[in-house]
Amino acid sequence: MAFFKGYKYTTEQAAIDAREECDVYYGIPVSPDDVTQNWVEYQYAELNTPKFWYIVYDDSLLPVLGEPIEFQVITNSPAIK
Amino acid sequence: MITPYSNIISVQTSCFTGILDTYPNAAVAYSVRKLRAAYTGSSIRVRRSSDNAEQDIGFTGAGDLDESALTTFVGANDGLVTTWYDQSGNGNNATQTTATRQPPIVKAGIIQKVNGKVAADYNSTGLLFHSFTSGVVAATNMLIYNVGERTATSKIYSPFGASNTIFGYFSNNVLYFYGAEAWAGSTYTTTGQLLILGTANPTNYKFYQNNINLPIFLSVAPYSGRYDYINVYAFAGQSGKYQEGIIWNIDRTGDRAGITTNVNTYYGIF
Repeated sequence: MAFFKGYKYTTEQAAIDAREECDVYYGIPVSPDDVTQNWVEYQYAELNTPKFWYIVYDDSLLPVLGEPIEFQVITNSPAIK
Repeated sequence: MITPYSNIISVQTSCFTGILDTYPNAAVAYSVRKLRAAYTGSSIRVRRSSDNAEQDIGFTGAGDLDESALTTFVGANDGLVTTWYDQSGNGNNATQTTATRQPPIVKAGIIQKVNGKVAADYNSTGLLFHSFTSGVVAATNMLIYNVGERTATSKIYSPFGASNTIFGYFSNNVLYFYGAEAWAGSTYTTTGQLLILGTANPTNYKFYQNNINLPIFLSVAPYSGRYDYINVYAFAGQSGKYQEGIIWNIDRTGDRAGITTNVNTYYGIF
């Protein structure tokens, strides 16, 4: 279990839309040949019930996506014997 | 008339010898220093924060990261690492295409360093990491090491990792090699600049931290695991700085001492 501050979305399309908002705001990519293709990326909390998509908080996201929330994401951990 | 010495030909030879000249055939190799004489590529690719432009940064003649080129490009802004170029010759570059996941190597015009050598700063509450072009599957024979700075305990410091594999510290302060096949027999809370090195052959795993052999608990085969990332385990956060990491998928157990000396001579870790 990991705790994150960020933005939660109930559909993948909503997460994609949020990512594109950030790209437009910061003008990414500058060039199609650049390594950097997105400003931010979303992730899938597939072990959670219900499943959701989320973006981890970064200070640069505040003017675009607003105030973040805190949430838990279920993760796998190495086995300890 | 014969001119003395007229047949002497001037031959210029490079006196540079990198660690991969002495210990070749690495699977992946990333560093802020040049690792082999024949490598003609760059060390890293950097995005600057002022306009998001990107540029490759190479080496000086002595094989150090070209700090002058880095400063000229980034200026008083931040410089973020988009790419660690694979110096092994396998083209297995480690990239990060998302801006907010790229670690700074320059902050407000100041080059980030550990013990005088340039380092990318992966300390973050977010997720800073790089993905290999093609993951490296852990082999029966393997030597893997990383030079960087463990900046905090009880946080992940995984110089190499994947979704279910780690080489480095998990948040329980246990040092793992592969997935859960091998792990140190105790918890360790040493922070600061570290050379973490692991070896594997068909009968043995070993851990070394700053050339000290750490006791290890060892489970049995099957060997498994795959390394796909620099400085990440799954999608948990991490803490640390990164300067160099190499994986050999061949038996280099006998070269462990020489590799350690080479690394420590350059970085002055212990």
